[in-house]
Amino acid sequence: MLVVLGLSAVASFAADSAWACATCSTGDPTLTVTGVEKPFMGRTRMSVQLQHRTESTGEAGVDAIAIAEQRLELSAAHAATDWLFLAAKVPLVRRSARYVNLARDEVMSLGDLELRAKAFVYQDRSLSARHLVALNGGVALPTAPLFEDDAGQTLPLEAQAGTGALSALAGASYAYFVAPFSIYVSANVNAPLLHRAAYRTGVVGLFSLAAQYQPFDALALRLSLDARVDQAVEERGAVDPHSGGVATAVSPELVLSPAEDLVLRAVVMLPAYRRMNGAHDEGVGLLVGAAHDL
Amino acid sequence: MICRALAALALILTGCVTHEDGTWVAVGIADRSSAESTFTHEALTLGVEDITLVACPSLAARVLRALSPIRVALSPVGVAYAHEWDRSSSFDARTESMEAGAPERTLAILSPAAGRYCGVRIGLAATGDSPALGVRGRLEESVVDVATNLHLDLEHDFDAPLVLEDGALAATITVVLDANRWLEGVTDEALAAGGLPLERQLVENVRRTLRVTVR
Repeated sequence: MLVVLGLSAVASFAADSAWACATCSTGDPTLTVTGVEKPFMGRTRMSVQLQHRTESTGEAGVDAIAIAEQRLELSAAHAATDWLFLAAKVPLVRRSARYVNLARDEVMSLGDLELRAKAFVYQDRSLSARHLVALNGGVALPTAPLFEDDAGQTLPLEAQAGTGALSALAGASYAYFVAPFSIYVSANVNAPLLHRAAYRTGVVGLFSLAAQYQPFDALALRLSLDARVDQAVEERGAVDPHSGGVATAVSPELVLSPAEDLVLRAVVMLPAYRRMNGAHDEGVGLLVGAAHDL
Repeated sequence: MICRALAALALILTGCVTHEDGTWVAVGIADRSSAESTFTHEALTLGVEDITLVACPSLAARVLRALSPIRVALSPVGVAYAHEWDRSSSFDARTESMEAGAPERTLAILSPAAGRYCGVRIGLAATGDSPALGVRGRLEESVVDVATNLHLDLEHDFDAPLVLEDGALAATITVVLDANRWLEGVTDEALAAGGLPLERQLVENVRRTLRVTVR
Protein backbone atom coordinates (compact mmCIF):
# COMPACT_ATOMS: atom_id res chain seq x y z
CA MET A 1 0.00 0.00 0.00
CA LEU A 2 2.74 2.43 0.98
CA VAL A 3 4.64 1.59 -2.17
CA VAL A 4 1.58 2.28 -4.32
CA LEU A 5 1.07 5.65 -2.69
CA GLY A 6 4.73 6.48 -3.07
CA LEU A 7 4.80 5.57 -6.74
CA SER A 8 1.65 7.58 -7.28
CA ALA A 9 3.28 10.60 -5.71
CA VAL A 10 6.39 10.21 -7.86
CA ALA A 11 4.25 9.76 -10.95
CA SER A 12 2.40 12.97 -10.17
CA PHE A 13 5.70 14.78 -9.89
CA ALA A 14 6.92 13.36 -13.16
CA ALA A 15 3.68 14.22 -14.88
CA ASP A 16 4.09 17.84 -13.97
CA SER A 17 4.90 19.69 -17.16
CA ALA A 18 5.93 22.95 -15.54
CA TRP A 19 9.59 22.07 -15.41
CA ALA A 20 11.90 24.55 -13.80
CA CYS A 21 15.64 24.39 -13.43
CA ALA A 22 16.63 24.43 -9.79
CA THR A 23 20.32 24.06 -10.46
CA CYS A 24 20.16 27.04 -12.84
CA SER A 25 18.55 29.16 -10.14
CA THR A 26 21.14 28.24 -7.53
CA GLY A 27 24.02 28.43 -9.97
CA ASP A 28 25.28 25.10 -8.72
CA PRO A 29 25.00 21.74 -10.49
CA THR A 30 25.35 19.81 -7.24
CA LEU A 31 22.66 17.19 -6.81
CA THR A 32 21.05 17.83 -3.47
CA VAL A 33 18.97 15.30 -1.59
CA THR A 34 15.92 16.19 0.48
CA GLY A 35 16.77 18.62 3.25
CA VAL A 36 20.07 19.70 1.78
CA GLU A 37 18.72 21.85 -1.03
CA LYS A 38 19.92 25.41 -1.62
CA PRO A 39 17.39 28.18 -1.38
CA PHE A 40 16.09 30.54 -3.99
CA MET A 41 12.88 32.46 -3.76
CA GLY A 42 9.91 30.48 -4.94
CA ARG A 43 11.67 27.14 -4.97
CA THR A 44 9.21 24.37 -4.28
CA ARG A 45 10.33 20.85 -3.83
CA MET A 46 8.22 17.77 -3.36
CA SER A 47 9.76 14.56 -2.25
CA VAL A 48 8.86 11.07 -1.29
CA GLN A 49 10.98 8.63 0.66
CA LEU A 50 10.35 5.03 1.53
CA GLN A 51 12.38 3.60 4.36
CA HIS A 52 12.59 0.11 5.76
CA ARG A 53 14.29 -0.71 9.00
CA THR A 54 14.33 -3.33 11.70
CA GLU A 55 15.08 -3.14 15.36
CA SER A 56 14.92 -5.35 18.41
CA THR A 57 14.77 -4.35 22.03
CA GLY A 58 14.65 -6.32 25.21
CA GLU A 59 16.01 -9.53 26.57
CA ALA A 60 15.51 -12.66 24.50
CA GLY A 61 12.99 -14.98 26.07
CA VAL A 62 11.78 -12.36 28.51
CA ASP A 63 10.66 -9.06 27.06
CA ALA A 64 12.24 -8.85 23.61
CA ILE A 65 10.30 -7.14 20.86
CA ALA A 66 11.28 -7.41 17.21
CA ILE A 67 10.19 -4.40 15.23
CA ALA A 68 9.93 -3.94 11.48
CA GLU A 69 8.96 -0.59 10.08
CA GLN A 70 8.21 0.77 6.65
CA ARG A 71 7.87 4.51 6.55
CA LEU A 72 6.71 6.52 3.58
CA GLU A 73 7.45 10.20 3.99
CA LEU A 74 5.83 12.76 1.74
CA SER A 75 7.54 16.14 2.02
CA ALA A 76 6.98 19.54 0.59
CA ALA A 77 9.35 22.47 0.96
CA HIS A 78 8.81 25.97 -0.29
CA ALA A 79 11.23 28.88 -0.19
CA ALA A 80 9.10 31.86 0.75
CA THR A 81 12.13 34.11 0.36
CA ASP A 82 15.66 33.51 -0.85
CA TRP A 83 16.69 32.63 2.71
CA LEU A 84 13.69 30.88 4.25
CA PHE A 85 12.38 27.42 3.55
CA LEU A 86 9.07 26.23 4.95
CA ALA A 87 8.70 22.50 4.98
CA ALA A 88 6.13 19.90 5.93
CA LYS A 89 6.64 16.19 6.23
CA VAL A 90 3.81 13.68 6.36
CA PRO A 91 4.87 10.17 7.30
CA LEU A 92 2.76 7.12 6.67
CA VAL A 93 3.89 4.29 8.83
CA ARG A 94 3.48 0.56 8.83
CA ARG A 95 4.99 -1.02 11.89
CA SER A 96 4.90 -4.50 13.28
CA ALA A 97 6.01 -5.61 16.70
CA ARG A 98 6.52 -9.26 17.53
CA TYR A 99 6.84 -10.29 21.14
CA VAL A 100 8.60 -13.22 22.78
CA ASN A 101 5.35 -15.12 23.12
CA LEU A 102 5.01 -14.80 19.32
CA ALA A 103 2.05 -12.45 19.61
CA ARG A 104 2.18 -9.73 17.03
CA ASP A 105 0.75 -6.25 16.62
CA GLU A 106 0.77 -4.48 13.32
CA VAL A 107 -0.29 -0.88 12.85
CA MET A 108 -0.59 1.21 9.75
CA SER A 109 -1.41 4.87 9.97
CA LEU A 110 -0.36 8.42 9.64
CA GLY A 111 2.75 9.15 11.68
CA ASP A 112 3.69 12.38 13.42
CA LEU A 113 3.41 15.37 11.10
CA GLU A 114 6.42 17.68 11.06
CA LEU A 115 6.36 21.37 10.23
CA ARG A 116 9.67 23.12 10.00
CA ALA A 117 11.17 26.43 8.94
CA LYS A 118 14.77 26.60 7.83
CA ALA A 119 16.45 30.00 7.73
CA PHE A 120 19.72 30.45 5.92
CA VAL A 121 21.52 32.89 8.17
CA TYR A 122 24.73 33.00 6.19
CA GLN A 123 25.83 32.31 2.67
CA ASP A 124 29.03 33.64 1.22
CA ARG A 125 27.37 34.77 -2.00
CA SER A 126 23.89 34.85 -3.39
CA LEU A 127 24.57 32.81 -6.51
CA SER A 128 26.52 29.59 -6.44
CA ALA A 129 27.08 29.88 -2.72
CA ARG A 130 29.83 27.70 -1.33
CA HIS A 131 29.22 28.16 2.37
CA LEU A 132 25.72 28.04 3.76
CA VAL A 133 24.76 28.14 7.39
CA ALA A 134 21.16 27.54 8.38
CA LEU A 135 19.10 27.32 11.52
CA ASN A 136 15.86 25.47 11.66
CA GLY A 137 12.97 25.17 14.03
CA GLY A 138 9.62 23.54 14.00
CA VAL A 139 7.19 21.26 15.63
CA ALA A 140 6.24 17.60 15.45
CA LEU A 141 2.56 17.06 16.01
CA PRO A 142 1.22 13.87 17.59
CA THR A 143 -0.98 13.12 14.60
CA ALA A 144 -0.40 9.39 14.79
CA PRO A 145 -3.33 7.67 16.47
CA LEU A 146 -2.70 5.90 19.75
CA PHE A 147 -3.37 2.24 19.27
CA GLU A 148 -4.83 0.04 21.95
CA ASP A 149 -5.28 -3.67 22.34
CA ASP A 150 -8.61 -5.46 22.71
CA ALA A 151 -8.59 -4.78 26.44
CA GLY A 152 -8.24 -1.04 25.91
CA GLN A 153 -4.63 -1.00 27.03
CA THR A 154 -2.35 1.31 25.07
CA LEU A 155 0.06 -0.71 22.96
CA PRO A 156 3.72 -0.27 23.84
CA LEU A 157 5.66 2.49 22.18
CA GLU A 158 7.39 -0.09 20.03
CA ALA A 159 4.07 -0.83 18.35
CA GLN A 160 2.99 2.76 17.83
CA ALA A 161 3.30 4.77 14.63
CA GLY A 162 4.23 7.94 16.50
CA THR A 163 5.63 9.19 19.76
CA GLY A 164 2.37 10.51 21.13
CA ALA A 165 4.12 13.75 22.00
CA LEU A 166 4.06 17.33 20.83
CA SER A 167 7.71 18.06 20.23
CA ALA A 168 9.81 21.09 19.49
CA LEU A 169 12.34 20.72 16.73
CA ALA A 170 15.47 22.80 16.45
CA GLY A 171 18.72 22.46 14.63
CA ALA A 172 21.57 23.95 12.71
CA SER A 173 23.40 22.97 9.57
CA TYR A 174 26.41 23.90 7.56
CA ALA A 175 26.87 23.06 3.90
CA TYR A 176 29.98 23.45 1.81
CA PHE A 177 29.83 23.19 -1.94
CA VAL A 178 32.86 23.05 -4.17
CA ALA A 179 32.11 21.00 -7.26
CA PRO A 180 32.41 18.06 -7.54
CA PHE A 181 32.47 17.80 -3.76
CA SER A 182 30.08 18.91 -1.08
CA ILE A 183 29.85 18.45 2.64
CA TYR A 184 26.85 18.74 4.88
CA VAL A 185 26.92 18.83 8.67
CA SER A 186 23.84 19.09 10.81
CA ALA A 187 22.74 18.84 14.41
CA ASN A 188 19.10 18.60 15.37
CA VAL A 189 17.20 18.20 18.58
CA ASN A 190 13.72 16.81 19.08
CA ALA A 191 12.40 17.79 22.50
CA PRO A 192 9.01 16.41 23.57
CA LEU A 193 6.96 19.06 25.33
CA LEU A 194 3.58 17.50 25.93
CA HIS A 195 2.75 13.83 26.12
CA ARG A 196 -0.65 12.31 25.63
CA ALA A 197 0.21 8.68 26.09
CA ALA A 198 1.13 6.33 28.90
CA TYR A 199 4.74 6.79 27.96
CA ARG A 200 7.13 9.71 27.85
CA THR A 201 9.68 9.78 25.13
CA GLY A 202 12.89 11.63 25.86
CA VAL A 203 14.95 14.23 24.08
CA VAL A 204 16.54 13.01 20.88
CA GLY A 205 19.68 14.46 19.33
CA LEU A 206 20.44 13.77 15.69
CA PHE A 207 23.84 14.50 14.22
CA SER A 208 24.95 13.99 10.67
CA LEU A 209 28.10 14.44 8.65
CA ALA A 210 27.80 13.75 4.94
CA ALA A 211 30.28 14.00 2.12
CA GLN A 212 29.29 13.85 -1.51
CA TYR A 213 31.30 13.34 -4.65
CA GLN A 214 29.68 13.99 -7.98
CA PRO A 215 31.75 12.60 -10.84
CA PHE A 216 28.99 13.15 -13.40
CA ASP A 217 26.22 15.71 -13.77
CA ALA A 218 23.58 13.07 -13.20
CA LEU A 219 25.26 10.89 -10.62
CA ALA A 220 26.71 11.46 -7.20
CA LEU A 221 28.05 9.22 -4.47
CA ARG A 222 27.33 10.17 -0.93
CA LEU A 223 28.53 8.81 2.37
CA SER A 224 27.11 9.94 5.65
CA LEU A 225 27.81 9.22 9.26
CA ASP A 226 24.72 9.66 11.39
CA ALA A 227 24.49 9.59 15.14
CA ARG A 228 21.42 9.46 17.28
CA VAL A 229 21.46 10.17 21.00
CA ASP A 230 18.29 9.13 22.80
CA GLN A 231 17.15 9.83 26.29
CA ALA A 232 15.52 6.82 27.92
CA VAL A 233 11.79 6.34 27.53
CA GLU A 234 9.52 6.27 30.51
CA GLU A 235 6.60 3.94 30.19
CA ARG A 236 3.77 3.74 32.70
CA GLY A 237 5.94 5.38 35.30
CA ALA A 238 8.93 3.07 34.82
CA VAL A 239 12.04 3.72 32.79
CA ASP A 240 12.39 1.29 29.91
CA PRO A 241 15.81 -0.23 30.59
CA HIS A 242 16.20 -1.03 26.91
CA SER A 243 15.87 2.53 25.71
CA GLY A 244 18.24 5.43 25.45
CA GLY A 245 21.84 5.61 24.41
CA VAL A 246 23.90 6.36 21.37
CA ALA A 247 23.60 4.69 17.98
CA THR A 248 25.48 5.52 14.84
CA ALA A 249 25.15 4.43 11.25
CA VAL A 250 27.27 4.66 8.18
CA SER A 251 25.22 5.21 5.08
CA PRO A 252 26.56 4.91 1.56
CA GLU A 253 24.22 6.44 -0.93
CA LEU A 254 23.71 6.70 -4.66
CA VAL A 255 22.16 9.92 -5.97
CA LEU A 256 20.85 10.03 -9.52
CA SER A 257 19.20 12.65 -11.64
CA PRO A 258 17.55 10.93 -14.62
CA ALA A 259 15.76 14.13 -15.60
CA GLU A 260 16.12 17.79 -14.89
CA ASP A 261 14.95 18.72 -11.40
CA LEU A 262 14.35 15.12 -10.48
CA VAL A 263 16.70 13.57 -7.95
CA LEU A 264 16.53 9.92 -6.97
CA ARG A 265 18.41 8.39 -4.10
CA ALA A 266 19.09 4.95 -2.70
CA VAL A 267 20.66 4.57 0.71
CA VAL A 268 21.84 1.65 2.76
CA MET A 269 22.09 2.40 6.47
CA LEU A 270 24.63 0.20 8.16
CA PRO A 271 24.60 0.16 11.95
CA ALA A 272 27.97 1.14 13.37
CA TYR A 273 29.11 2.09 16.86
CA ARG A 274 26.43 1.63 19.48
CA ARG A 275 26.27 2.31 23.14
CA MET A 276 22.68 1.62 23.98
CA ASN A 277 21.13 0.97 27.34
CA GLY A 278 19.99 -2.58 27.99
CA ALA A 279 19.45 -4.89 25.07
CA HIS A 280 18.88 -2.99 21.88
CA ASP A 281 19.86 -3.88 18.35
CA GLU A 282 19.24 -2.29 14.99
CA GLY A 283 19.38 -3.94 11.61
CA VAL A 284 20.42 -2.68 8.22
CA GLY A 285 18.09 0.00 6.91
CA LEU A 286 17.17 0.80 3.35
CA LEU A 287 15.87 4.03 1.92
CA VAL A 288 14.82 5.02 -1.56
CA GLY A 289 13.53 8.44 -2.43
CA ALA A 290 12.69 10.89 -5.12
CA ALA A 291 12.65 14.69 -5.02
CA HIS A 292 11.26 16.91 -7.68
CA ASP A 293 11.53 20.69 -8.04
CA LEU A 294 8.32 22.13 -9.34
CA MET B 1 -9.41 2.84 -8.74
CA ILE B 2 -9.55 6.39 -7.37
CA CYS B 3 -12.20 5.41 -4.86
CA ARG B 4 -10.11 2.48 -3.70
CA ALA B 5 -7.06 4.70 -3.39
CA LEU B 6 -9.05 7.26 -1.39
CA ALA B 7 -10.49 4.54 0.80
CA ALA B 8 -7.02 3.18 1.41
CA LEU B 9 -5.77 6.66 2.19
CA ALA B 10 -8.62 7.25 4.64
CA LEU B 11 -7.83 3.95 6.29
CA ILE B 12 -4.20 4.94 6.71
CA LEU B 13 -5.07 8.37 8.08
CA THR B 14 -7.39 6.94 10.70
CA GLY B 15 -5.09 4.02 11.24
CA CYS B 16 -5.68 0.36 11.63
CA VAL B 17 -4.26 -2.25 13.93
CA THR B 18 -4.20 -5.99 13.66
CA HIS B 19 -3.31 -8.37 16.43
CA GLU B 20 -2.21 -11.98 16.30
CA ASP B 21 -2.34 -14.02 19.46
CA GLY B 22 0.82 -15.65 20.67
CA THR B 23 1.38 -18.74 22.72
CA TRP B 24 -1.53 -20.08 24.75
CA VAL B 25 -1.07 -22.71 27.40
CA ALA B 26 -3.90 -23.78 29.67
CA VAL B 27 -2.85 -25.44 32.91
CA GLY B 28 -5.51 -27.41 34.71
CA ILE B 29 -5.98 -30.04 37.36
CA ALA B 30 -8.00 -33.20 37.17
CA ASP B 31 -8.85 -35.67 39.88
CA ARG B 32 -8.66 -39.17 38.45
CA SER B 33 -8.37 -41.28 41.52
CA SER B 34 -7.63 -44.97 41.50
CA ALA B 35 -10.62 -47.18 42.12
CA GLU B 36 -8.68 -49.81 44.02
CA SER B 37 -7.54 -48.24 47.23
CA THR B 38 -8.17 -48.56 50.93
CA PHE B 39 -8.62 -44.83 51.11
CA THR B 40 -11.49 -43.17 49.30
CA HIS B 41 -11.27 -39.43 49.19
CA GLU B 42 -14.31 -37.18 49.20
CA ALA B 43 -12.69 -33.81 48.65
CA LEU B 44 -9.28 -32.27 48.26
CA THR B 45 -7.97 -28.75 48.71
CA LEU B 46 -5.05 -27.01 47.05
CA GLY B 47 -3.79 -23.58 48.05
CA VAL B 48 -2.42 -22.54 44.69
CA GLU B 49 0.12 -19.77 44.96
CA ASP B 50 1.76 -19.78 41.55
CA ILE B 51 2.08 -21.85 38.42
CA THR B 52 5.20 -21.86 36.31
CA LEU B 53 6.24 -23.56 33.14
CA VAL B 54 9.83 -24.66 33.59
CA ALA B 55 12.01 -23.91 30.60
CA CYS B 56 14.38 -26.63 29.48
CA PRO B 57 17.90 -25.72 30.44
CA SER B 58 20.09 -24.62 27.59
CA LEU B 59 22.87 -26.90 26.41
CA ALA B 60 25.43 -24.69 28.15
CA ALA B 61 23.45 -24.80 31.36
CA ARG B 62 23.15 -28.58 31.12
CA VAL B 63 26.89 -28.95 30.61
CA LEU B 64 27.65 -26.61 33.48
CA ARG B 65 25.22 -28.43 35.68
CA ALA B 66 26.74 -31.79 34.81
CA LEU B 67 30.26 -30.56 35.49
CA SER B 68 29.54 -28.56 38.58
CA PRO B 69 29.91 -30.30 41.94
CA ILE B 70 27.38 -27.83 43.29
CA ARG B 71 23.82 -28.12 42.13
CA VAL B 72 22.59 -24.68 41.22
CA ALA B 73 18.92 -24.09 40.70
CA LEU B 74 18.45 -22.18 37.48
CA SER B 75 15.48 -19.90 37.53
CA PRO B 76 13.35 -20.20 34.41
CA VAL B 77 12.29 -16.58 34.65
CA GLY B 78 14.77 -13.73 34.41
CA VAL B 79 14.44 -10.21 35.73
CA ALA B 80 11.96 -8.60 33.42
CA TYR B 81 10.84 -5.10 32.52
CA ALA B 82 7.22 -4.19 33.03
CA HIS B 83 6.29 -5.51 29.59
CA GLU B 84 7.05 -9.12 30.50
CA TRP B 85 5.73 -10.58 27.29
CA ASP B 86 6.90 -13.89 28.65
CA ARG B 87 4.09 -15.03 30.87
CA SER B 88 5.32 -18.48 31.74
CA SER B 89 4.26 -17.85 35.34
CA SER B 90 0.93 -17.04 36.85
CA PHE B 91 0.79 -15.57 40.32
CA ASP B 92 -2.69 -15.83 41.63
CA ALA B 93 -3.02 -17.14 45.17
CA ARG B 94 -6.29 -18.91 45.70
CA THR B 95 -7.83 -22.04 47.10
CA GLU B 96 -9.00 -24.80 44.82
CA SER B 97 -11.37 -27.26 46.44
CA MET B 98 -12.56 -30.24 44.46
CA GLU B 99 -15.11 -32.79 45.37
CA ALA B 100 -14.36 -36.34 44.31
CA GLY B 101 -15.30 -36.81 40.66
CA ALA B 102 -15.35 -33.11 39.89
CA PRO B 103 -14.59 -32.21 36.28
CA GLU B 104 -11.20 -30.94 35.20
CA ARG B 105 -10.55 -27.37 36.25
CA THR B 106 -8.40 -24.70 34.64
CA LEU B 107 -5.92 -23.09 37.00
CA ALA B 108 -4.26 -20.61 34.68
CA ILE B 109 -3.87 -19.55 31.09
CA LEU B 110 -0.23 -18.77 30.35
CA SER B 111 1.38 -17.10 27.37
CA PRO B 112 5.03 -18.01 27.70
CA ALA B 113 7.94 -17.06 25.53
CA ALA B 114 8.45 -19.30 22.54
CA GLY B 115 10.80 -22.11 23.36
CA ARG B 116 11.09 -25.51 24.97
CA TYR B 117 9.54 -26.33 28.29
CA CYS B 118 10.42 -29.42 30.25
CA GLY B 119 8.01 -29.30 33.15
CA VAL B 120 5.42 -27.51 35.18
CA ARG B 121 5.61 -26.36 38.78
CA ILE B 122 2.70 -25.53 41.02
CA GLY B 123 3.55 -23.66 44.15
CA LEU B 124 1.28 -24.44 47.07
CA ALA B 125 0.87 -22.43 50.23
CA ALA B 126 -1.75 -21.95 52.90
CA THR B 127 -4.18 -19.20 51.98
CA GLY B 128 -6.31 -17.68 54.69
CA ASP B 129 -8.02 -20.46 56.60
CA SER B 130 -7.30 -23.03 53.92
CA PRO B 131 -4.32 -25.36 54.01
CA ALA B 132 -1.66 -25.64 51.32
CA LEU B 133 -2.79 -29.17 50.69
CA GLY B 134 -5.57 -31.18 52.24
CA VAL B 135 -7.66 -34.23 51.70
CA ARG B 136 -10.76 -35.62 53.34
CA GLY B 137 -12.16 -39.09 52.90
CA ARG B 138 -12.67 -42.52 54.33
CA LEU B 139 -9.94 -44.96 55.24
CA GLU B 140 -11.77 -48.21 55.61
CA GLU B 141 -14.62 -47.09 57.86
CA SER B 142 -12.95 -44.12 59.50
CA VAL B 143 -13.33 -40.52 58.42
CA VAL B 144 -9.92 -39.02 57.79
CA ASP B 145 -8.97 -35.39 57.29
CA VAL B 146 -5.31 -34.67 56.63
CA ALA B 147 -3.86 -31.30 55.71
CA THR B 148 -0.57 -29.44 55.68
CA ASN B 149 0.42 -25.80 55.68
CA LEU B 150 3.90 -26.57 54.37
CA HIS B 151 5.01 -24.27 51.59
CA LEU B 152 5.79 -26.66 48.78
CA ASP B 153 6.26 -26.99 45.03
CA LEU B 154 4.66 -29.74 43.04
CA GLU B 155 6.96 -30.05 40.07
CA HIS B 156 6.69 -32.58 37.32
CA ASP B 157 8.73 -33.11 34.18
CA PHE B 158 7.00 -33.69 30.89
CA ASP B 159 7.62 -36.97 29.09
CA ALA B 160 8.80 -34.94 26.10
CA PRO B 161 9.59 -31.24 25.97
CA LEU B 162 6.72 -28.96 25.13
CA VAL B 163 7.89 -26.91 22.16
CA LEU B 164 6.11 -23.63 21.52
CA GLU B 165 6.94 -22.14 18.16
CA ASP B 166 5.32 -20.90 14.98
CA GLY B 167 2.64 -23.39 14.04
CA ALA B 168 2.53 -24.87 17.54
CA LEU B 169 1.36 -22.07 19.75
CA ALA B 170 -1.29 -23.75 21.89
CA ALA B 171 -1.14 -26.51 24.45
CA THR B 172 -3.14 -27.85 27.35
CA ILE B 173 -1.39 -29.22 30.40
CA THR B 174 -3.33 -31.25 32.88
CA VAL B 175 -1.95 -32.08 36.27
CA VAL B 176 -3.62 -35.34 37.17
CA LEU B 177 -4.10 -36.04 40.86
CA ASP B 178 -4.78 -39.42 42.37
CA ALA B 179 -6.10 -38.47 45.79
CA ASN B 180 -7.10 -42.02 46.67
CA ARG B 181 -3.41 -42.88 46.89
CA TRP B 182 -2.40 -39.92 49.02
CA LEU B 183 -2.46 -41.90 52.22
CA GLU B 184 -0.64 -44.97 50.94
CA GLY B 185 1.76 -46.30 53.53
CA VAL B 186 0.24 -44.22 56.29
CA THR B 187 -0.30 -46.31 59.34
CA ASP B 188 -3.12 -45.96 61.84
CA GLU B 189 -0.51 -44.88 64.39
CA ALA B 190 0.82 -42.16 62.10
CA LEU B 191 -2.70 -40.94 61.47
CA ALA B 192 -3.43 -40.83 65.15
CA ALA B 193 -0.17 -39.04 65.91
CA GLY B 194 -0.51 -36.49 63.09
CA GLY B 195 2.06 -33.72 62.94
CA LEU B 196 4.94 -33.12 60.56
CA PRO B 197 5.78 -36.77 59.75
CA LEU B 198 2.22 -37.34 58.55
CA GLU B 199 2.26 -34.12 56.53
CA ARG B 200 5.56 -35.12 54.89
CA GLN B 201 4.18 -38.52 54.03
CA LEU B 202 1.14 -36.84 52.47
CA VAL B 203 3.32 -34.51 50.39
CA GLU B 204 5.55 -37.37 49.30
CA ASN B 205 2.53 -39.41 48.21
CA VAL B 206 1.06 -36.49 46.29
CA ARG B 207 4.36 -35.98 44.45
CA ARG B 208 4.78 -39.68 43.75
CA THR B 209 1.31 -40.20 42.34
CA LEU B 210 1.21 -37.00 40.31
CA ARG B 211 0.99 -37.29 36.55
CA VAL B 212 1.00 -34.64 33.89
CA THR B 213 -0.48 -34.86 30.43
CA VAL B 214 0.33 -32.44 27.65
CA ARG B 215 -1.78 -32.14 24.52
